[in-house]
Amino acid sequence: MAKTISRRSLLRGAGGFFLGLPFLEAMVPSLVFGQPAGVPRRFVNAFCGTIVGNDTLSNPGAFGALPATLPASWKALQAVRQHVSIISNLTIPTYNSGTTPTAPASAYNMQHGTTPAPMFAGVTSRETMAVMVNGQTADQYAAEALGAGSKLGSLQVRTQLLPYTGSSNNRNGIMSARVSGGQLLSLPPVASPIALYNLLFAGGAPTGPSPLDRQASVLDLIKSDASRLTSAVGAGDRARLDQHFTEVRALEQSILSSLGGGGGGCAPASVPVDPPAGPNQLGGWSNETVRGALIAEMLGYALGCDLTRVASWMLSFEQVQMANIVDQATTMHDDSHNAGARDAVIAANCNWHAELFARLVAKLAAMPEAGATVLDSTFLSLNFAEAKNAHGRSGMRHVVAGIPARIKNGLHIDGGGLHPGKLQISGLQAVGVSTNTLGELTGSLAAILV
Amino acid sequence: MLLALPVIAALACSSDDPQLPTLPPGLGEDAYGATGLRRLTRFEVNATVADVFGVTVDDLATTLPEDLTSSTPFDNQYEAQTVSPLVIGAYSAYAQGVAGKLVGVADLAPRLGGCTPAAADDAACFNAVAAKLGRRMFRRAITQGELDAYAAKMLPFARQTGSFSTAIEMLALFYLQHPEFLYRVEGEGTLDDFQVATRMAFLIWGRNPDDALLDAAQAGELADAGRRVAHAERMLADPQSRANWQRFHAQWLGFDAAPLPPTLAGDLKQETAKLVERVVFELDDDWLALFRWPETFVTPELATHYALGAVATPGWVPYPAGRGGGVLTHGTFLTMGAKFGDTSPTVRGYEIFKRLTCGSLGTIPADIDVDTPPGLPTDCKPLRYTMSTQTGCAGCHAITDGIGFGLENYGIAGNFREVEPDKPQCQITASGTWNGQPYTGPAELGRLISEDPRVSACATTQLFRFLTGRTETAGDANALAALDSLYRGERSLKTLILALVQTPAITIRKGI
Repeated sequence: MAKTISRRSLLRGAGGFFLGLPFLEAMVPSLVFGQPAGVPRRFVNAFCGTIVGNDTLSNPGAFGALPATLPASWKALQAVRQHVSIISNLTIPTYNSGTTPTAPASAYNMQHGTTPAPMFAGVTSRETMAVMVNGQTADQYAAEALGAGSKLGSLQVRTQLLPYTGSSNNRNGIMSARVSGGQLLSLPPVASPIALYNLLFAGGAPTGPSPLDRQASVLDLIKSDASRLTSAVGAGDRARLDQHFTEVRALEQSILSSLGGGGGGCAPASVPVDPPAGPNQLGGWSNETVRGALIAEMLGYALGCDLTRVASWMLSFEQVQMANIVDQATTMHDDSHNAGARDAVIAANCNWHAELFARLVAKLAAMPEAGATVLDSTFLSLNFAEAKNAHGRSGMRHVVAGIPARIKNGLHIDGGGLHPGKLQISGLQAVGVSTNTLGELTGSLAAILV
Repeated sequence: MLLALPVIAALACSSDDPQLPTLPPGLGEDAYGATGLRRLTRFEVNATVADVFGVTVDDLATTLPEDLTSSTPFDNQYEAQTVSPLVIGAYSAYAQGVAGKLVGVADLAPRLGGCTPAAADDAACFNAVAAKLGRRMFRRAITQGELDAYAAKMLPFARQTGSFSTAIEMLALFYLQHPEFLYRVEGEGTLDDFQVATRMAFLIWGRNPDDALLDAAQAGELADAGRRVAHAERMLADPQSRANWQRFHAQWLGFDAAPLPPTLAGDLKQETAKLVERVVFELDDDWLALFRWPETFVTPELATHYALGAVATPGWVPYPAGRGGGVLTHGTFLTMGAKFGDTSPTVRGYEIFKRLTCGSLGTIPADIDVDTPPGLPTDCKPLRYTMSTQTGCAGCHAITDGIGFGLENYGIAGNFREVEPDKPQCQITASGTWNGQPYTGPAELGRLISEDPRVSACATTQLFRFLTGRTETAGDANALAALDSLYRGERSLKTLILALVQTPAITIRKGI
């Protein structure tokens, strides 16, 4: 159960977050984790849909303590160097079309879009980009163990607004899935900062008098139609409608809680404004830098205020068709296929992802919690779709952060050629999930565990 | 083929209604099979909201939950439509976005309800707006009891703010988040006329019914097949049917997701849209003529891109001899076949084979490296892509590469070329094979494709998937065979659509 806080504490706390004043302990749940038992544990996966660049760009050097100066692909991590570790030498086994994969959690070899399934769900990918994750993902196992008691059992967000292929169908924009009722359900992310604000902070922008009251009143009216509608349909349809009405009731309760001052005010001091959406075409750009910063800020609140304990954050789509971060003359995908000629751009692209990730790490590190920080109870990972070159599945580099009592921070770690899905198993173990498996994988990445 | 239906009638006149053709037996009461509760897609929600509220909402589309696909290429697959707090939150955000656009809009009440409010809490005007909006949004008549309930909830807020528009904004919030709008709710068994109208509107327009169709439903007309077909013909003639069928073709053929060169993306999309419009709607020509049409719509920039000669203004230009192939040579479609920085005859051939025959291929040997370009980089492509003659590879590559090589005159985005990039010594011959038959160039390939019974069966299967929002099952075999038979007789997509409206299956719901 989330702790409720007074408006006064809220305002001072929120000010502390946005204006640099001390963050108040009253802002965070009273139960504690880490040293004292009971503080909520948190699990965050982030995903980048492109490469880290060659060794010159992305190798931090010898295994051991991270150097003070990080290579170009990781420049943004320097500011949070003590909280993160870079893991090199991770490998996903591959298979070719029609063959029977011989290794657990293999990736189809032919194209982009097939590494999230082995990385996040520990299952062998399909031969298509149509479904990115075809097994329950680690964040959803975390949600099963940690999610109860927070407003949202888990949260899925995405920074890249559009696929930039001309399609409105974001087939490659999913990185979370859970099994429910024997079926695998893809969990689409929120890609709009204002929508995320509305979702988290119940009622959203104060655009007129009593917006929360209006919304609550409307939802109450909708809810009253539940029995009429569900009785008009067959059993198969009824289950779907029932689920919809259940979620409507939950949203209404959340709003009513806000209206009653029951903790709903743990929110950013200002309502975000979505940067304009750019053209949905190759090399499109919707100012994802601003969007990413807003999302990082709200994710910080969501985790620190116990609105959710589990989040997946897709920073960019698989096969990133978004404009590059330097001159926007090419796409990140195109850059990844032109190693050598565009190394500086490749490094900048990678570093752009690292910078957004670092923002969230810094936010959590700045949020006090029971004598420690929120970061101290949060496992974070930044996972890259591919290795040093386009389509590369060996020599992958990923980043982990947080929960220093369980995860080694501040190091360059040898992954030993192990599967990056094992990093997820380690993350689950770090937040207290009792498991040694993920999909087809068994065993953790012990090198990152304390 | 606008006269297709009378032609069928002349061939088979056993219908109860002498004005209507007799449908193949497979298009009887069971033709639609069983489908679960269907939620509106982004396209469908946005199109409906723009129609009903008269505001531009394109910028809000990405606020809506994403449409997921898995086993069909279409965005309306009901099995993929899940509910979660995020989905509900997204609808909430979208509704607030739309309501926000209504703030300050002049003449909202007269336009939406045909009345001018005398006061902020004018109950009569509120009822008029709520009833009219509600019928368009819920696709049925709103009862007085419901109107009273809405008024009791919303008018106090209007009184509080002193503005009637507050009530309208709340109506928008209400209708947009209500499951009766978000889902196409149907009972099992015989549907009422409003539900039939809804099926017709989503099939033909991809959005809610308009007032004329709702009036017909309210008058009880739509149980009659003749009236349904008459309305369907009206709806097909309405320009708003175009966007829905562009959506269908883009998703079927895959160019909805194709990465296009930014400077030409608009021109390329327009080119394909114009072809679909001309073949399917303006001329009602053979549907599969999309793959062998002898002219194309280009801008001056696109004409240069395709090496079609200079044109001064956008318009239709005929292809030179040997070229053509309709969609087959559009940049929208060809973009799917790129690999290793150039076109891949294998990938391009596979995409065409898969999408146009609904076929699948065998296996790639385990020891084949598919990430390294084949052959020597200095060799011409026919010397590099030799898999079609290699043991263990030929089974698939004879199919795929055979298709793809005939389109080698077209670069990644469809740019015309006589030689391979940076290899002036590598002249392109444009020779290929389709289903074992040799062909040269896209015009010949298009002819073979449009005459191939596998392609007509695939096209009609895709239509069925789009209609039902699901993958076909064994129980759908008769309906699929009937659709294919009807197509092969009449060659008209419009005829197929009208048949799907005429069939009694449109009035019957079989639940899952």
